[in-house]
Amino acid sequence: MNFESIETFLPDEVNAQLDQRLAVWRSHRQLGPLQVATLRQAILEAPEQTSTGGWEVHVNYLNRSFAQINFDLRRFLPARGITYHYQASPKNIVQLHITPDWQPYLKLA
Amino acid sequence: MPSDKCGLLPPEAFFEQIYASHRQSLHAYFLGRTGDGEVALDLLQEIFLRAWRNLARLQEKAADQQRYWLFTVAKNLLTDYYRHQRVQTSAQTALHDQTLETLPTQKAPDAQIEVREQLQQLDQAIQQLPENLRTILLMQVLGDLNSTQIGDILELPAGTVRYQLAMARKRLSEALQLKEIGQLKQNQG
Repeated sequence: MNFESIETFLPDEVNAQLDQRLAVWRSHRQLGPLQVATLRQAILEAPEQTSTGGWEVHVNYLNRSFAQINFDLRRFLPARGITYHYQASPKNIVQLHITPDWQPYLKLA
Repeated sequence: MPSDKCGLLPPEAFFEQIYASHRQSLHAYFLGRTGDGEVALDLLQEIFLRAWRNLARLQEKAADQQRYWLFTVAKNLLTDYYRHQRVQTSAQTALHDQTLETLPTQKAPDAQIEVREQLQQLDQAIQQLPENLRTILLMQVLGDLNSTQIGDILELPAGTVRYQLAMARKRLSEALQLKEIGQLKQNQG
């Protein structure tokens, strides 16, 4: 447990008792291995966000593709001495704002 | 772990790293703020779901910015939670829900009962702390964060965090009636 030097209003003995009780409490109340694994599984297997229409489905597909392309480019191009400029000219950008948190970093030009 | 600005980790590995690094502190934060174990788990799942869906964006950030992003989303999630929570459910279902599942099974029944009682006593004492003290205490005890890190997340000076931590501990010791051994003997005598 992370008992850094803290201010204390308690006598040492009481502090020690409290630390001991909190340590036992922590060992029972922190996420157990089963909870950690179950939660992780639920997240990784969660269905994609529900869409309201065909256009959004398409944009989400593009978004995922861009993310993958961007990931691959960032990973492989520098190793080959190629600089990756992903900021397109503003006048040529096709902005696709469908979902609020959608921010493509590889933009259609 | 180094920053992943170069994007060298595959998505799943990066997610594992984020999950391992931040799940305890986020769980502690949600548990402290809501006082409800079930809600804390739901919110924890939701935040990592958002992280998973924004992995590419998150991966571009430095490690401290990743923590900042996660806790910003955590605060927004809590705001939404409170907004939709018209009637506050009793926090008494909260922390002790997990007790039976997590008790060590190999211990003798008497020892189990004693441990369970102690856990429930501490659950109640923690539950009765004001939200700000409870959050700080749990972020330290469960989340393994130091006062500077807690202060960064809660936007408080580290000294204030340490003071509030001391207050929380004082109240807990009073609720648990922890006393010095000398004082105990005096009382018994």
